[in-house]
Amino acid sequence: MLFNSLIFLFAFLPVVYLGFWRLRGKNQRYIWLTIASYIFYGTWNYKFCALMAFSTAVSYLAGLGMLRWNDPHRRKLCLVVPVTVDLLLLGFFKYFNFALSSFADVAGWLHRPVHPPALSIILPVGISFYTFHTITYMVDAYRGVIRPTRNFWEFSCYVSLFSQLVAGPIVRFRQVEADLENLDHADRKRWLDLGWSFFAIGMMKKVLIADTIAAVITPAWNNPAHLSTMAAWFCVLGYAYQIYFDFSGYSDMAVGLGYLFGIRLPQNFNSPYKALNISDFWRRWHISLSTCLRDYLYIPLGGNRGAAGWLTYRNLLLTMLLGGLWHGAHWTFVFWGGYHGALLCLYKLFGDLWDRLPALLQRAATFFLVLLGWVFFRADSFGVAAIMFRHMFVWSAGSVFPGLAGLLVALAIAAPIAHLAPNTFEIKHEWPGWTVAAIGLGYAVSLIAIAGGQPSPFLYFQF
Amino acid sequence: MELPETKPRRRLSLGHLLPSLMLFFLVLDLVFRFVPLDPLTFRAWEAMLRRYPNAQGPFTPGKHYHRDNSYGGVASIGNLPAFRHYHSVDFTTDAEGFHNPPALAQRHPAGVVVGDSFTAASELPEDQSLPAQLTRLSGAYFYNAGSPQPLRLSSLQALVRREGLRHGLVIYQFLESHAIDKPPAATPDGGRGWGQTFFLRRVGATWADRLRTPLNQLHDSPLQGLSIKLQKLLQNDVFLPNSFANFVIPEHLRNGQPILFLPAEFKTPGDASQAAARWAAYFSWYSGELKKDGLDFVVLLVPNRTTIYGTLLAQPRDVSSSRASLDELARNLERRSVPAVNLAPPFARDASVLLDRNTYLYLLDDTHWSACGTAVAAARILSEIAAHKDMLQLPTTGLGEKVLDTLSCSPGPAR
Repeated sequence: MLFNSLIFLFAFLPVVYLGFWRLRGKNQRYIWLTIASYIFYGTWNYKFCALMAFSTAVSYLAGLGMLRWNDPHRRKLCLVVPVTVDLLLLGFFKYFNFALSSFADVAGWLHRPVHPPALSIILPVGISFYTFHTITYMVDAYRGVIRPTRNFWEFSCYVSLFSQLVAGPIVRFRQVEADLENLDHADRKRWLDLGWSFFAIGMMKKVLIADTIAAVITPAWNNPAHLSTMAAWFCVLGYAYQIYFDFSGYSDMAVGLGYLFGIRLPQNFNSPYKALNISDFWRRWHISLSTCLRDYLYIPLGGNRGAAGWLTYRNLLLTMLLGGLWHGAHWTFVFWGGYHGALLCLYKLFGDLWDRLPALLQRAATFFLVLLGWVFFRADSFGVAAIMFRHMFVWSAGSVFPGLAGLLVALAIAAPIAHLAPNTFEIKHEWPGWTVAAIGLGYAVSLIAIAGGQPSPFLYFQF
Repeated sequence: MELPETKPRRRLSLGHLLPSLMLFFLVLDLVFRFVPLDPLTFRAWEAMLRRYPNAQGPFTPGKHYHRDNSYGGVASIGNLPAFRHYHSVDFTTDAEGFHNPPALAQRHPAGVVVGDSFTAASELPEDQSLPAQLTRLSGAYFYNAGSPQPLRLSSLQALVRREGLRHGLVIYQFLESHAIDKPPAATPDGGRGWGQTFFLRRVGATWADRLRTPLNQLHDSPLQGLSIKLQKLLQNDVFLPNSFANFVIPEHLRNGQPILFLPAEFKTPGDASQAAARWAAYFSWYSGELKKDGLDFVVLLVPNRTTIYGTLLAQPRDVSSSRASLDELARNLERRSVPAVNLAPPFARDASVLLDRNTYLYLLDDTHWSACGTAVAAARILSEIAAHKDMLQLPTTGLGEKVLDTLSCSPGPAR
């Protein structure tokens, strides 16, 4: 079930919303949201509900263990065992076949061909996200940053909350703990306008901008061999805006839904295409992931404690490589992570010089570097990425592709919003009447667009 | 002076507007579902078909549909206006909900044609459907019992009783692509689910019909239909690429005429001999049951368009496996002594000859056969019946001339 589907908008959301506000007790609301979230999750593949329930139960018990024992060894055991279980599950479902095929490739290069049988594994949607929820919960509990909850329903509600279950933001328990604790005192009217405002803006970003761009560029990306130079640049530029409006649109909808149920979710995008340098970009793009990688990987690895020593560069590269791998079991993602890691290292080395450039040039150059990175992120293989780069940088004449008019219109709307306009967390959402009417119109157009076709999945659902 | 207290004006807020908007759409959608679909449709099938069929026919009974600019379903699926062949259609149903225009109906039918959309013929002139052609060529009336899926035995028996058919002929039109599916269970109701059987027994057919009427109304959303139309309008390869085109396969015939196929038309059964054996067993049982009622039975094997035109494409395709699967079924039926007419060999021959005259046995923008195709099929069936001395004999005097007349048929020009 997608946020941009008729079944979600006209059946699931109204029923869950009305049911939630009819209930008064905290536990009743936790249970209601948990059941609703499992139904929401089960519409993809009900079998994977058991996997999420298992992961939830293991992490919850680990939290109880940490509450009970002060002995450092036992506490460590309460951290290591469940984190290992979570990572093994993630590793099996997401990376097993990738590891197997990579092993076969390496063996082939070494002239020792092996043909391991690939297992037919279906990647459970959202596993990367809820695994991070449980891991950050256990690590924070171990570090003493949070006090683990004794209430199983509160914890299961946190892990499975449908608004951020399948594509984030990656919410840490401490970020929603206060709202979950006060769920019985939540005021329905307090954040009603704010919630709908976030939700409608997110929906329009996804349905009207990202999906329009996708409709034009996806066929070209699927068959890039005969693209002209101009078409190749349109493809890459289009994808840069598609992924931003798709993912930030989803995040806005998630935040909006959170508000509708009295839970404030954190900001995930802070106008990333306004970034002045690559380090700034990663403070603005998929903030919940980058801060997780920083707090739970980069800093434990040593962070930048070695000043500008090689260890800092190693830590940066390692963190970004794993960040790339988190996005998907494919070497193109790993390369993309490595590319960003290398850019971060270069910025660390030459940041002083970079910072002396005019701000406009810094922004443009950062966007250009990010744009090049998206080629690896979007390409199905290194071959496709190479074709795309060849078309981009070696002139080839020719026509563009069908639907150019629609792409130009979408880009003309998308680019100013991404580069100049304030983002959804910067605006006050206190709209005058005409703006409310305009948003209502945009929302109605989005509903019409949804009714006319199959809802298109959000890009980050695959991760 | 004290001013009268005024109420503060209520501000328009998103928290109220958006849920109200959704409620409005929901109510509008529900209301629209009770409005006839006709103006939104491009052909009779969608406008007339009941998604929850009543005990009798598959279409809305006693209704007439007319459209001047109808066109083929495949061109519609692919959103390809350039491939459309516009034509006028009329579709009139009888009191039972089958496609039998009153102008052609006679009191006592000599036979019933059971089949799918090929028999129902929603895209042909009313006097050119297979049953109408049979009637024209033989002079004896054939009742059109075409529905999305060929009738199960119990439904057919009920129909035969209603129409007063005694010692007549039942022609079962079987499309090649159905060979992929498993035949229904060899029981009168075709293995209807226990839930449905229980429901029908408890509620009774009349009340079941009454309950299904609103379900039929609620099934299709005109509002959703309008949004799809809007999307198709925008996806014109200028403003947006036509994503619908991925659902069809455009090809060219060797005379240069464009023809559209559906990917499903190229599918063949994985194990043709097993599929043929299963269907032959089913038809043998079906035939045996009808014999008990004194009815003769003929299976009409209709090839897919791809089987006939695959080899006549500008870049020919190998269709030998498709042809082999129909041949296999024909042999199986022969072994079980079930009379059958396999249209694949004559169609392949005729299609090749007619192609040079820009005449086609099938429509170029739709999966179904043309008026020419139904005429040839009718002539072949009548010849087969004439060859079976133990079958009901129909007047076939002058049939040869009529067939020749049929083969000179030509479709109207594309507009």
